[in-house]
Amino acid sequence: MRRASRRHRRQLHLTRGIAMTCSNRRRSLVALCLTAGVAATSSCSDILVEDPESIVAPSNFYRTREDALAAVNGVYVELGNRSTINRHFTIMTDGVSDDVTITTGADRVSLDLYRHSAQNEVLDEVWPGYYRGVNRANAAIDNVARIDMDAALRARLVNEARFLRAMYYFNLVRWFGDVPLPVTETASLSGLAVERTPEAEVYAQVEADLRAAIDTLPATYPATDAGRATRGAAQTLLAKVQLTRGDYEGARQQLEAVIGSGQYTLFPTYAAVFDIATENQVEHIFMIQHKQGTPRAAGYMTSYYPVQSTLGFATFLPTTGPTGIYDAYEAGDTRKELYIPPNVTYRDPLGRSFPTTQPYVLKYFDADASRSDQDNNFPLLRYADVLLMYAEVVNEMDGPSGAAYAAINQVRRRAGLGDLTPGLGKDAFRDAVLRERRVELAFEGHRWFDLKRTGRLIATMQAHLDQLAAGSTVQPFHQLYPIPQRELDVNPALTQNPGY
Amino acid sequence: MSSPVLTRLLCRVAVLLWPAVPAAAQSRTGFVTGIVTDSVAGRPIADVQVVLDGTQFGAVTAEDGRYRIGNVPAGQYTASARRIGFAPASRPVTVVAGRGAAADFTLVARAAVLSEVVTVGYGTQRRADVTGSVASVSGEQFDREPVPSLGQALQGRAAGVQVTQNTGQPGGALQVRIRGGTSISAGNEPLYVIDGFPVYNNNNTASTRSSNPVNALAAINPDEIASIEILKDASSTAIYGARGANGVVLITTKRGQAGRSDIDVELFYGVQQVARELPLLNATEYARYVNEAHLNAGRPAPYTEAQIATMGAGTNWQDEIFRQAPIRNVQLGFRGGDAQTRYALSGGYYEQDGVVLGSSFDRASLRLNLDREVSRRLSIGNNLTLSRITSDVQPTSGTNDLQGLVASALFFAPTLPLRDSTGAYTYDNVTWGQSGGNPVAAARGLTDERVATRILGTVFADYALRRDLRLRTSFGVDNTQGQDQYYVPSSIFLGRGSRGAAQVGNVSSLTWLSENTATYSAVLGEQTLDVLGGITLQQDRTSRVVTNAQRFPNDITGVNDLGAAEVTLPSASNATGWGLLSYLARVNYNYADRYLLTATTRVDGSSRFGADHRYGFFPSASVAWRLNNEPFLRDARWLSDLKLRTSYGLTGNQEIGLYQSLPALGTSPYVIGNTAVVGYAPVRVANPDLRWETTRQLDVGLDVGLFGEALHLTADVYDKTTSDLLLNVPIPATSGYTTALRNVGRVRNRGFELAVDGDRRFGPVSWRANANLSVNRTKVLDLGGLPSFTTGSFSGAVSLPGIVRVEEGRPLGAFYGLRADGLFQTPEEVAASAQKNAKPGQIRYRDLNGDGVINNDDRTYIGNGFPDYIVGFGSTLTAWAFELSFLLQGSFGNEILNGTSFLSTYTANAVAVPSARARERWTGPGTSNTVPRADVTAARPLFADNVLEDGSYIRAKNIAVSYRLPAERVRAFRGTRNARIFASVQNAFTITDYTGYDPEVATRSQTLTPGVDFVAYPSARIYTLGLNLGL
Repeated sequence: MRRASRRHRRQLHLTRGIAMTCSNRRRSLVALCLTAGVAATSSCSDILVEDPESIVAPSNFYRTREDALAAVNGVYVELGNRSTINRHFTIMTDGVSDDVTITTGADRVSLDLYRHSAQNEVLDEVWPGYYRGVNRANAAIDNVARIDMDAALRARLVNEARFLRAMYYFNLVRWFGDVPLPVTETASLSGLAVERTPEAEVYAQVEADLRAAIDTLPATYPATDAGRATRGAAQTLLAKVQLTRGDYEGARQQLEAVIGSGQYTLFPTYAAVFDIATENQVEHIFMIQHKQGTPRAAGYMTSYYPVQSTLGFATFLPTTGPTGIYDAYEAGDTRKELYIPPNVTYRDPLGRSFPTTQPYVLKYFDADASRSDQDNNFPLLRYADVLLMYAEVVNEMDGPSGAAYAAINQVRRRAGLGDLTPGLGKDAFRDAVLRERRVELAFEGHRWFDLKRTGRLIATMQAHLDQLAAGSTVQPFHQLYPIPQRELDVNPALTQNPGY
Repeated sequence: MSSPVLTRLLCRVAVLLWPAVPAAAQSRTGFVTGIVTDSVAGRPIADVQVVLDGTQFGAVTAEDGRYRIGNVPAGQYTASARRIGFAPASRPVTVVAGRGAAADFTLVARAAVLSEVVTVGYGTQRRADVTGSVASVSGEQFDREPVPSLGQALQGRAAGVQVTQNTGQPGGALQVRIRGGTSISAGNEPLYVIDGFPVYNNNNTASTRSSNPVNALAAINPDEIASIEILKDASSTAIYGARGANGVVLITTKRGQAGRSDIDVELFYGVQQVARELPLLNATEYARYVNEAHLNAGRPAPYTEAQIATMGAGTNWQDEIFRQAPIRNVQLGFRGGDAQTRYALSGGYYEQDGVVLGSSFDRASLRLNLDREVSRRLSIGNNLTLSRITSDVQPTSGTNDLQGLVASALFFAPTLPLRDSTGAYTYDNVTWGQSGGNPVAAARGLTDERVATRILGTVFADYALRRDLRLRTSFGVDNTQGQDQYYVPSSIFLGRGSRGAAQVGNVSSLTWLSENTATYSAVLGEQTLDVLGGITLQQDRTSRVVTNAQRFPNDITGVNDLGAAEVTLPSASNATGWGLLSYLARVNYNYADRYLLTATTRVDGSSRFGADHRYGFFPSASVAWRLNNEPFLRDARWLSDLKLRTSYGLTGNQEIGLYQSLPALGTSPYVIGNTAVVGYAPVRVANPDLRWETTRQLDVGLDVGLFGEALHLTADVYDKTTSDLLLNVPIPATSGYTTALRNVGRVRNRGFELAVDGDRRFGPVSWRANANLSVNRTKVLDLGGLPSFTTGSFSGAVSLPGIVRVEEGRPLGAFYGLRADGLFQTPEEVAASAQKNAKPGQIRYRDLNGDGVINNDDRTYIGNGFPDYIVGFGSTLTAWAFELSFLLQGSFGNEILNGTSFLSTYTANAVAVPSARARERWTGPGTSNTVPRADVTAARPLFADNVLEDGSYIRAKNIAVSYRLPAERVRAFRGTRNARIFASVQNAFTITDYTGYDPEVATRSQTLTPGVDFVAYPSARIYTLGLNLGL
């Protein structure tokens, strides 16, 4: 009874409270509105703006010196990727030359035998890989230039990126001819269907980038920066571009600058060029950097290594016979020591022995590591190449002069050979330089380019493939690779190279 | 727990156990007693709530229809009786001190289904007024089943809902699809709304480990669920806008009821065993098989006859890793309240050991739901659940190759003993076949413990500004903390390379939600109008840290002393977040209970969308016509409901990943100065156009109620077309990128659903049954310029190209492979084939393109992992005090890639799986056309239709019997409402032609690669015995 009446009173009170005291009602209403209002307005404005806390975006990057360094390092990264100056580079320069036979991978073998089409897994990776490098370079060039930092370092970094962009475009234009030429970072998904730019304009951009790099890049770096692009590297690359285009005067100027800098010299032995202990030293002008135990260890170079095992893949084999590289060495050439000879019992670093039936390349081999964790750098530009280009340029301009002989003989003497026969005619000297380039720079990514720029690709390769009884016909259109079909499918503005 | 309540509980338990305790002393109050019966048969009705209006006094009728309200102060009262399914009744009663007053009631049955209130987005509606497609599952339907999470509870119970377990691991992840998957690369799980709090079930918020995931929703105790509503059409889901496209599952937890003070105790205990073991060769047979495989390849036989003679049956490794495992559940709930305050406080503990050695799951959960009418205008309340789930996971499924625990138990040679002569576990499978570790040593040695603590709570206030205008505001928080500990000791095979590997991960996810709504209701003669409007805000932030270390000097401290490791691997961390700002509105209009109209819209602003498409607009409309209320049908007494309804609308899917519209730079290393340096470079282009995927859905449905709702039928047909599908489409590589995520594709789901509910009473016997049928067909309409792509490749020991192909004009889930054509019987057959290097006894494949070579170009469509239709049938028969119920559930017309069958044909390394199928192997012309010859040099088998099997099945998901203790006897234990004992079998039996462990399987994503069984954790059969006690 007591309980019921107390309850009744309270209900009466509350009813009266609600009915009579508006303030009470307002108070709860106000409280409600406030809660809702505060919640709705306090964070409304910014709740929809994504704050990318754990991603790096242009909005929070490109601000400091460190960002500038990291952005340019990001351009170098592409160098070591499989698609760029790595396995596919070897396939598309030496694999397709008369120096190397590729044993596995249908699409790789078809390139080796000049039966490739526009649908090829190697081309499908190379084309995007190089343009990824270009876009990375473009991004660094555009954005680093705007960072408020030490101006000298900024200029150097921008020009390292320009050097790399030039290198990417130089390979693209040599392989594919006219190619699209984006020089700014891709910032949106519209307007991506770009047309091919004539070869000459691509070369002009390459030369402009390299000249800017020559003007800005330092001659040397402290050891902690070893591997970055130097002035000498830019000069050597520019010389190679000019030689490719027949601009001997320009090339001679750059080569003389490199030689005259006194900065480079040949290693006393050929083996030292490929020795892990002497990387980034006197003869090396630009190397693709690899380091054991890092994600950037080299793996593909062990494609050359004998047996398929934990140490190697045995899928890139040196050619033999009348057109083969293994039989192109003169007697006494110490450069031939960097092979495992045929018909011997080879003992591998794990102590296993096996008989060899054919030669194997031993230039790139890190005996301390597994096949995918190799330490070897790849020597993309080196002083022997400079000397041989110089001999070639001088011969083209002045005939086989003393300067031309001096340059080629430096390389020959280091290989344990005598001087080149004196008194050769201009054509014979040209042949001698090309032969020297083949054995000196074997498996370093020069051969296909050299054959192409000297107009010898079709005849040389036809002879080689005939020797292999491959049944292939090398035709003029083979001097350019096809634009990958995948790319033509998504970019209607592109046209295919003839013959494909 | 407050002490009076505890005291009362203990007293009642004591009273129940010792009925000799004398009755409590009389006081100066009276009491009310009576019996409630139904108006037709005069049968007593149980569970009727009888209250004295305006007081807190009330009681609930027992099985015999009787009730007693004690300690009532003398006076005049109005007693009311209410029960779902009956029209309420009331009558005056006068209570005199010290005496009893009688108040009997006769209740008139009314259409239960129609008057039932269903939860819809941001509100509730009478079932009769619903114009959309909404299926309901009540908590009672799975109350006594051993289901670890609510996903399992849905299986087979509602039309249009497909639930697939990835694994039989207790608490393991499962996939729920409502009317099929709408998306190819974005999420396909429905939106779960738990007491108003929207949750997308992302298992990554509960654990940093992605392999063998644990279901984050297992943190929600199914015993606390009062009802589940499944919103399927656009009309009902559009109120959830950019999250509605895959359907919405609304979960309402149990709340207190006025006039009751219930205490419910639920207990069950059970044992589990593997539902099916695979037949394997015994040691003797295996050794002979291995010998034959070597001799056939021209190699010496590894086992001598003398060795084989001593082998006997050897070890069945399945028996070594499978076990009988216990399952336990204890649940204690206090629910009740008076006219102004209602409470529901419950706690539970669920513990399930897995049938695979070393796996287990447990959950401790606590819930408090309060409601209080502060004044006639203002009411406040809350929902709060705290739970903690702990899973011990075994690496059993989802692995591409043969490293999984169950797989290794299958391929481990039966000739090897569990322990070697020194008493240590046999280390690895060194004889023949797949190399791998001892599965028992792995199960006992490996630690993979994942703990997730979840707090999900909301507080709300509801204020009546006017009689017809209510404002509601709520604020909620969902916080999950996941802690993962993973340790592989150096002593087991898996740890031999790392010499002890530890991983510790932490993930913390916090989502807050603010919702503010206003509802207006008006009645104008025969018309009623309800209007809802609101603003909601939701924001999430999730951060993760994972550390790894290797090479421990010993296994003593394991994961608890990472400092002891010799090698500390790089740590990883990240933080992500998203926000959603939404405006919603809904109008419900009802004219004369005949014409119903619902219009809904939501505007969702999402941080995931690109700057140019930040706000999405999702409108829908539906109309319904209740023909049975038309004058021309009003006399049709047999027809209680006839409703024709249709809806059309747009919903979105915002599960497109985070930050996808923003440009981003990624890191990769290069070497400078002979040291690895980090480079940053662009990896994604800004795409301000990026937006949600849009689903347009048309639904036409019919509801029919017959014979006073004794039979109710719901049928729906729908057509869902999802456009703006996110796909990674190729772009010109000269941009620096080969693909970009764009809104380009279209997929269609069309289907038909039928649900029938029946309810019949014959005196003391009653029968309730429900059946449902769902048919769904998918079709890819547009892939944004991609003609097709294959997906679902396998790496590792089992190396397969993409097994499923997605192609324009084709359904999703289509297996793409070779056609097998029996076995080569003779060398002549080999010579005439495209497989010149094959040997007689090996599988012959069809050279479909006739080019004389068998390769990927000979693949074709060979099956589909999605079923043609799925069915569910539930039945409950009650007779006197007994109740027998069962649930059948099935799937028809789907194919399954039987991985074990594939592996048993994989004889390259002698024998990958010593399946008993090998007994029927080819040994000469005509001996077999299905099981290849044994040959250690055989080529690896290719993916072909010979490893697909019909995955159709029908399964007795649950069979239960229960016995309700006689009411008189129960009532004798003062105040005990009811007591029931029950026994059930989960997964009682399965009728199927499928030869793997379980046809209900998906070791891969259900979106694109359904029906893949690569040696998953097998499901268990569970026998339980339980007790429900209501005090």
